[in-house]
Amino acid sequence: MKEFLTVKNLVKNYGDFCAVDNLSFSVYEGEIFGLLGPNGAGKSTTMNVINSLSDFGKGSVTVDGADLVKSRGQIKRMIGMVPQEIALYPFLSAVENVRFFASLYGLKGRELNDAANEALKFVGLSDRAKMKPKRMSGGMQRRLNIACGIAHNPRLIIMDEPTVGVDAQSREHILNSVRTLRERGATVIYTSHYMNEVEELCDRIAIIDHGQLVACGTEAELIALVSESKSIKIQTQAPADFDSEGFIAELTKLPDVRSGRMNDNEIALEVGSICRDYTFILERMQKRGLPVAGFSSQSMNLEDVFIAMTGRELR
Amino acid sequence: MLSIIMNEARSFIRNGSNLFFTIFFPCACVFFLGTFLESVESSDKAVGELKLAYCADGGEAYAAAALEGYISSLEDEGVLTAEKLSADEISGFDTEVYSAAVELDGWDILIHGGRDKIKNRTVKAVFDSYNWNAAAYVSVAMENPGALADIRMTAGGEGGSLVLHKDLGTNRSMMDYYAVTMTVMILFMGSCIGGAGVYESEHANATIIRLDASPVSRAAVFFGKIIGSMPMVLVQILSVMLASTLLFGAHYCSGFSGNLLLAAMFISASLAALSLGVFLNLLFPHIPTGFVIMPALWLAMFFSGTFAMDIHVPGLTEYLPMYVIQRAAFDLTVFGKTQRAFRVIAVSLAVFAAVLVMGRIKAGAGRKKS
Repeated sequence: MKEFLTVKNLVKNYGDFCAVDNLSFSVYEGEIFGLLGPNGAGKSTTMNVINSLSDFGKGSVTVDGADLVKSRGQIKRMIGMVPQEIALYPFLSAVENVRFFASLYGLKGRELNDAANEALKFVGLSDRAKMKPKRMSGGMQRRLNIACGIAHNPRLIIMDEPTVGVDAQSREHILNSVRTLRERGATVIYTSHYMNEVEELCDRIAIIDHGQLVACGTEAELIALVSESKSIKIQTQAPADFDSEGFIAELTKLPDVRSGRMNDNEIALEVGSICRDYTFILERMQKRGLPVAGFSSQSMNLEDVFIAMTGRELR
Repeated sequence: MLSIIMNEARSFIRNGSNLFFTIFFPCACVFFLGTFLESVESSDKAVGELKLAYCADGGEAYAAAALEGYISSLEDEGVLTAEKLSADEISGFDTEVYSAAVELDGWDILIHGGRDKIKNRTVKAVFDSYNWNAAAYVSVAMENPGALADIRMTAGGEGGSLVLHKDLGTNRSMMDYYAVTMTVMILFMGSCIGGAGVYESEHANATIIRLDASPVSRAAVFFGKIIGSMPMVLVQILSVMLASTLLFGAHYCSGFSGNLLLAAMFISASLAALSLGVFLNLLFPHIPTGFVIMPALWLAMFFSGTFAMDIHVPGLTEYLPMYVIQRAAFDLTVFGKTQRAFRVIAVSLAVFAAVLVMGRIKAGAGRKKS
């Protein structure tokens, strides 16, 4: 995959305080990249640097091969931002807000109108085009906030907690919108305090703490970093003369199964942490005529990984 | 930048409080202050109405004709009212009815004072000036009689006057005073305070993030905000001037060119005030700059006589920008003098240009450095 955004050895200081400390990561073209970190970890500062809202001391940032310092204007045109705050003009209607922000990126005339209408349609606000933001619900304002950030059809979209304080319906709409943006070829950097959002949405995730990259990878890769194995327990009804030792020996020859034991009617296995597909185990049981009476897996999720890596909860 | 300019103007027009405080309020001030303070205009109140009794029967024929002509002209200009009495009546004139009495004896003018010292002094001053003017003629007649013809030619022939009125003929009122001072008020309140809120509102709406992240440079945003606020300045000033003139009958200059220069002076001063306001808000974007500078502006306007013409603190008032602009405006409207107006325009444009340069530098250096 092509690297679309590359952050290399980024350093950003506020006086004596080092907000971003030698941070490096890459975002591939067309992926949704999650940026996670506790409050004050440096993720907002990093996003501000990418958005050109803030300068940086050392390192480099390149977007589609263009250097941020040398080609700031060019890079700004490629980026669309959806800030955490509702950044809208209260006296302008929805379509006027979208039109204004899109016009800052050079869109004019019919192209501008079409882009604004398309963006409103994308977030499901076509029928509220003439409504002013102050009359909209929180969820609608959030969606309009997104429309203002994507109307100019950016290749890189930076979304900072776009679902804060919205109802379940709007949240689902927003998450689907983000997926649609990826399908259209946009690259998305996504931050959220809702871990389940990041889990279900992001292709890869970077965890930042104290301004440094703690880990980066797919969810499974991150879990694997914290725990190499997980235990699964399968309840069954084995005949009295069943060769449990032989069966366990057979299972441990399978690629992701590390060890196992069988006591009474329960099979306990240690499998690799990234293993999610257990059909190959169940197939072996079926061959031996063992029914599956119950199944439980003690696996880690992203939140466990986050706590394990940062020692803190996300909120 | 064009979209920023249009957005700025649109946001202003859509905000009802802007329209109220920058257009309706100053127009109302012109009307109410001009109407209700008309009766307490201090110089009129101090002197009051002058009713003069006079008798020229005992004077030389030339002197009598000149004196009667002079008194008649004073009546025409509304300085006083006069009544001709006989020589007997003058000596015992009724001080309840007349402020003072004037009697011509040969070439001499005798003033019989009334009960009010201020009125007595005023009548004396009026006739002293008449005497000094007459003395000048006598002096010329004695030393160079031929020059009298030149003086008459200068005055425009028989019956002409050496005193040029320069629009003093307009019946000036407190409405005229407040039409000028309220325009100056709106010039500072609307422009400077309005300008001082442009970045603050962007921060309050969080839209500054989008502006900063956009490809439009911060300097262009700064210029766009100033230029976008200019129509607002024009509308404010022209609204006050037109409403004062058309609705309340206030007078500015008597001619079109004078009014054009006056508007140009107000607009250029507004641009300077507006750009200063925007620049201050650029320097301190997170604080409500308008509310911070508002008390200072009100104080400066108070000591500049914006709200009451009697207030003048020597050593302070003359240096306040509001006073300087008001003085230039009165020079222009009352006397037709343009020098101060041009000076205000020049200084305002210089301030405007300097602020643009400083704003360009500050805006360019605005990104948070590490």
